[in-house]
Amino acid sequence: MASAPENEKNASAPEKKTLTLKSMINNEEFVVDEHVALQSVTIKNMVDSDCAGDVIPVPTISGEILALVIEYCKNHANPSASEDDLKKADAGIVAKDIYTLIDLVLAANFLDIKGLLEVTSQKIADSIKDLPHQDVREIFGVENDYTPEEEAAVRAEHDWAFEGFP
Amino acid sequence: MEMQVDRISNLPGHIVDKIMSQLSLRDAVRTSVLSSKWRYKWNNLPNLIFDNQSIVVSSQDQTSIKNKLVNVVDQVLLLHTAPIHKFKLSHRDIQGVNDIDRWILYLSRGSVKEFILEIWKGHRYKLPSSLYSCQKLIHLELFNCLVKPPPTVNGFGSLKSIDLQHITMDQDRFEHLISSCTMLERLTLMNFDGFTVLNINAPNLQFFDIGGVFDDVNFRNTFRLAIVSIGLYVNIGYDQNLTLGNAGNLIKFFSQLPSIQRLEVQSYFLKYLAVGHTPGKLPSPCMELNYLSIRINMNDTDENLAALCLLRSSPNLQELEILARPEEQIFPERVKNIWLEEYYDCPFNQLRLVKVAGIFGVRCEMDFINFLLANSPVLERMTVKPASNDRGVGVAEGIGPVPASFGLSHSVQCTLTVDSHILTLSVSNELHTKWRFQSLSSLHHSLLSLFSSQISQKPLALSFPQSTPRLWSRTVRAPRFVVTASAVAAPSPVDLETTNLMKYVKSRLPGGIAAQRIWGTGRRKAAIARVVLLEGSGKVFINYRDAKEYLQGNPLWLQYVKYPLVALGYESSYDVFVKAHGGGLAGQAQAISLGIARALLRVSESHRIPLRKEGLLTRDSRVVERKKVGLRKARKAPQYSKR
Repeated sequence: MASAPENEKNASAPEKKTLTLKSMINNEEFVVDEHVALQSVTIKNMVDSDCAGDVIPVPTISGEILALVIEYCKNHANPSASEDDLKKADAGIVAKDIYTLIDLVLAANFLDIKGLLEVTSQKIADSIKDLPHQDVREIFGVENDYTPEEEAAVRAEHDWAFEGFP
Repeated sequence: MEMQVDRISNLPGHIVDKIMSQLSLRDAVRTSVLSSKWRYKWNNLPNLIFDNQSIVVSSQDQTSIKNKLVNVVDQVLLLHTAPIHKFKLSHRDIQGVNDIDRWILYLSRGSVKEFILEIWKGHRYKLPSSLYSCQKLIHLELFNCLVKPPPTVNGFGSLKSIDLQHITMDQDRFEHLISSCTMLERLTLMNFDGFTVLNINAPNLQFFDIGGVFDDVNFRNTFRLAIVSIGLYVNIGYDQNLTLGNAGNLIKFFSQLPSIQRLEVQSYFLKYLAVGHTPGKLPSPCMELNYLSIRINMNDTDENLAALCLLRSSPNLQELEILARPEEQIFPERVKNIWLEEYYDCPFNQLRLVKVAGIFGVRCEMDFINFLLANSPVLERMTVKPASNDRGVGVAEGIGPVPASFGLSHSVQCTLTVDSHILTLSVSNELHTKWRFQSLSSLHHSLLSLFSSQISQKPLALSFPQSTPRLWSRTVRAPRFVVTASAVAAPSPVDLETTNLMKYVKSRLPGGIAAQRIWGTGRRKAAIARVVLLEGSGKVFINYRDAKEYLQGNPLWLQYVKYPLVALGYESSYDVFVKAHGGGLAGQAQAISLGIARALLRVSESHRIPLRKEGLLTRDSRVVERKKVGLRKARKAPQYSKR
């Protein structure tokens, strides 16, 4: 790094490539190092097949979710991070409300980031386990389209699973 | 409540499947009642796990429990549509019933990859022959089963991992099973019967963990085996010495293990290795071995020789653990001291961590420690744990006359547990040179006398600015030593007040009681006890107080607390830390007993059977019966007289 500061941008460009991710929902842009972004298999495929320009548009993901995804990728791109630290960082990222989590799981699915998909789906599962189904319905806003008789029939079919639940 | 959009129902199918597979079977099945879209979603679960969480039984009647379990499994298997990846049946109330045959037959027609069957109760369950036609199986785990594959079976072509515990199998069938699974990478065997010679012929085997009673173990074509842990649970007699030709067991054992990396020699297995001729060194050293753990009787010459041979053949060792068998060492016999003669020809140039536990401070043990110190130039930490408290001082003194040439490039930290004071002795020198250790040994003594007279609460630092350069100090400048020692208060209530004990207990439990690895909760009457076990010497602390003091010296209550550890012979291998509240002292003592027993299950599941036999795992559900209206107490009727 002997070059003058004004040349720095050019000098460092070949060794540390950056990519710009742009959320198509609210047009926010994020500049990330290439090796961070390449954890997403989708982006990797785009870069490998040379169809990525300077700015990679990311449809259907809002800027706020994209920021979380990038935080996750940054943590996991750091080779010196220990297993425990990563676990803690992951727990911090997924400590969100259920709607953010669903957006996050969709984003992870679209960008094809296996680890993130794993932790978010685990978190969603954790948030509904051992809850009565009425609460699960409320949490997710699932509309009950059974008639009371149908519901009773489905319940009766699996009565063993409903023992101890109202 | 505001009505929110239902987004989870519209998630892509594979994401829903993923979320579902993280739920227990019971929770997953319950989603069918959410809405009509969800009715059949659980049918795609790849893993079917029937255990205590997924099927909750409330009834006490054995027949109705059995019928319920069978119905649930039948129903789930019938309704399930997607291919089954993993099938696990491990419910504490299931016995080896015929219905399992039917389920295995059903699974064998699919492409099940992982099959786990654990029979907790009753007799060994005889596996049906249909299991042996599951050709796609990758992982097989059986507990309490009778394994009898028909002789025509060709084995499992893609099986990579076998875990068999408490199984019965005959010799031929065992050998055939192992040798026919050509892809086998991991093999775990615990507490087996029916066969006594382990002939292992598995070219891809990498992991081998065995514990049980056997006569002989032979490896063939195990050139990739890297991690080995072997425990022989029975003490073989001396006269059983077979007339072996020229090679002893040691040579035979290692001849087929060229790439071994981790080795644990547990229980009495070193005795087996010591049978027959033990050479000074193995013909081909274990170049990749970096972790070695040996359980040894230091008073047995043959075992010492075998251990020495092993050590001399492991030049690249990084971590070493030596555990003495204290029960055999009570009567020291005269042993030929081998650790002195061999000082200089066996350098461990990579040895960093050493742990020595359960020693008595006899000559041979001290020589062994000094042998290690003398030959380990990059040693970073050595932990020495005496078998009991009163031996500690002897151990510390024994290390005193350390060999004069002690080459160090880093710093050494030597931790000694002496008479329940933890004495950490760390030594660092600034110059990479050899030093005279004699000055240190005298320091050692002075420190010891310091500790025995009075316990200092804060760490004290002593620095030695100069030591006389002797013959082998090549450097001009004299090295500077800094020796720090820190003491932690001892748990004797006589000369220490409770605050010190509290500090000591807290220092042993970093992160609090909830953050420990081996824990259990016990209840009795109104008492609740949270118990943590740490490796130690058998001390018991209840609510930051010594157990004897807390339980007012009542021998019966103390007996309750000690019983689970005594039943397994662990009375001096674990320290017990308890937080108890509620109820009275008797209830707390029994709650602790249950807590310890449950914690021991975390040490090893194999403790379940002995503990269950002693009735230590049963929650005593008797409590005070309520008072009834019209009666004086629960059952006492008011006095009445006829006239």
